[in-house]
Amino acid sequence: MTERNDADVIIVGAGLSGAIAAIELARAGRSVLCLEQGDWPDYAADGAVHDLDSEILAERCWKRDPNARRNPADYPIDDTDSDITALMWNGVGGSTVLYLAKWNRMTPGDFRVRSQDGVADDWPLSYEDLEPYYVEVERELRVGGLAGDPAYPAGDGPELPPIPLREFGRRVAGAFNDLGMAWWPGASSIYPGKRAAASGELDGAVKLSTDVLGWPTALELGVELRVGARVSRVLTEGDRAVGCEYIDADGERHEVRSGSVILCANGLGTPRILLMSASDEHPAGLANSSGLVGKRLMMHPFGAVAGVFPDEVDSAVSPLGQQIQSMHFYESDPTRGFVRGVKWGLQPTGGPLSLTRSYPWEAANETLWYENFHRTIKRRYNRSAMFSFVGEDLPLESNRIELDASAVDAAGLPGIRIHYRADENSRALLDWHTQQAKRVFEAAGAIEVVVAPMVRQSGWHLMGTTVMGEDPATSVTDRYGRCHDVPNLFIFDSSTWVTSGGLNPVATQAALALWSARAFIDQGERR
Amino acid sequence: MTNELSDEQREALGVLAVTLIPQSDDGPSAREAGVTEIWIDVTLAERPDLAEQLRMTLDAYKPEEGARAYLDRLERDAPAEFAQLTYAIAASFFKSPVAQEWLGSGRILDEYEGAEPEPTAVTEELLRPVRAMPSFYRPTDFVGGNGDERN
Repeated sequence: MTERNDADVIIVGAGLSGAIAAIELARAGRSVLCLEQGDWPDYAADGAVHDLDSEILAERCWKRDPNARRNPADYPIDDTDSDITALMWNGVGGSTVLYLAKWNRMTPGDFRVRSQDGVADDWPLSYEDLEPYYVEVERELRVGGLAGDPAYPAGDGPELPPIPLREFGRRVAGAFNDLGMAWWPGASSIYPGKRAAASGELDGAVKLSTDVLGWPTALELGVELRVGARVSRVLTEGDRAVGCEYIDADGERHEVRSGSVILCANGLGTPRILLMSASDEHPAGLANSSGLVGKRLMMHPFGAVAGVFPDEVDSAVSPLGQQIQSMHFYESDPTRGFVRGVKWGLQPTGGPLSLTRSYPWEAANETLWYENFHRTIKRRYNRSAMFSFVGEDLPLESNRIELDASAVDAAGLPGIRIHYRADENSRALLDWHTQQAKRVFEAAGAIEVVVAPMVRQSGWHLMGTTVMGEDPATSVTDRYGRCHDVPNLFIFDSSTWVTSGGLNPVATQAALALWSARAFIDQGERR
Repeated sequence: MTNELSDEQREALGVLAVTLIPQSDDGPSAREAGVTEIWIDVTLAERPDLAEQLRMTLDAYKPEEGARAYLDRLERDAPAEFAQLTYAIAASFFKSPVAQEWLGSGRILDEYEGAEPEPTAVTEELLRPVRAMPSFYRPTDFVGGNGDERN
């Protein structure tokens, strides 16, 4: 069925980037249609994502791995040739529905990796370009934090305060001070409000997820959001995008037309759509004259170190946000034997059930169960904390996705296959940082430190698969997300990232989506 | 599909649960906490998706093998099934008021709950040496303007 649509723009994907772009374009007077393959989160039926009353409820309907979750909106992802499993939420809000709200800007050097470290590439934009957009989204999205971290240039920070520092945070902060290391109260995309829990609503933390803070505004501004609309291809005439084909929840095929198309379907979904859009005119997939669509996948290898204290440290707390962060070892140091760095984030260990989970605790030397059970649980509960490490991985063309016709989604469209290996640099980087963290926990008075290896179930951050750049031979889009090959087709999600940084990407992705949307408005969507 | 366990499955669960969480001077056993009698049903009511695999794991247990030997074999040969079994048993154990009283556990605290708003005087004091540090990010040669600057 072909529909004439009066929308100026079709946005594909109703996650973080889609929400920010939709709001900006609507405010600028553009008519916007958003196509989202999933549905709205149904909190009334499925419960809170981060429930305070029950540690197991959250995992009933909010599984992170789409292959385990198998919602109708999910598509198959074959990760048998990957060191990391891809995690996401397909629906309104995107993966902000499930994430833990850790908010970190990239540093100036993160945009100049080739110039500073001689590897990978420089971004075609700078920290200074994005800085005002960071400030704006931090205020718009109600981020909490504190300006002044010496790991960053001076400037404005979030208007709301950081989350309260608990006893375990204070002890670790003191250890950093004793060791002469830098740390800072962590920034978090949560704010005080009314929190839903199984036992009822309470005064507490509300997490920024764009189904709650974002899409309601977009709808008020007149954006049309169609859920259950799985885009199967971008329609083209010559080198112009003219709309999208999508399949609805009943399996019916639709064609909708518009002046421009903006893909915001994440680092796997966006290249999947481009590859599914192959045609006689674009046999290798759309916008793929460089051959880079689907390549340079970065997933942030992840490690953790837990410390157990001899007494209670107030750590049976919900894990949203981060207590403190340390960028002390973030910048490259050639004496370490690897390049690039990692942000350290300190978080609580939560309820007792979380203390029985394999990660990171299976790295402890003794079994949890049998005669050890009570002693081990008592030793850890409310007495332990955990550093998490988001390791920067370099963009390798061998790390990639491809279509997998052997496994199809509910609409019969091909799934994807991921090929991803954490290289020697990533592994050396994680090993070195986790050993340093052990030293910090010991200085803080921990009586046991558990150093966990790289974990497979950690692929939240999906980046790089339609890299931006100035040269159409070596990049897919320009610095504003405009595809070199198809000038009215845009990519506003983290697919365009040139390098990954060593920290949680939501802050930079939010700023980048706003930067791209403003450029779209300023420059005009047609060229 | 029902989430209920048969009598045989419940009996197997009781043996395996008390092996994993035995009676001890350090705390209550799975039996004392009522894992098999009460709390496994609460767990499966909240997580019906766990029931099918749990029943299969319980059906595969044969008393003649011995509970500890079966659990050791399961952990070695079928770690996902072992993880799911121990998850269901531990979740049920921690729902019990007997276990909660022993551990002093209850609902997880909200991020803001029972804490002063930041930045507190304690935090400011801790931050003093950090504020005294010079910035340590690596600057680029960005000079402002149209964003076309390079190193």
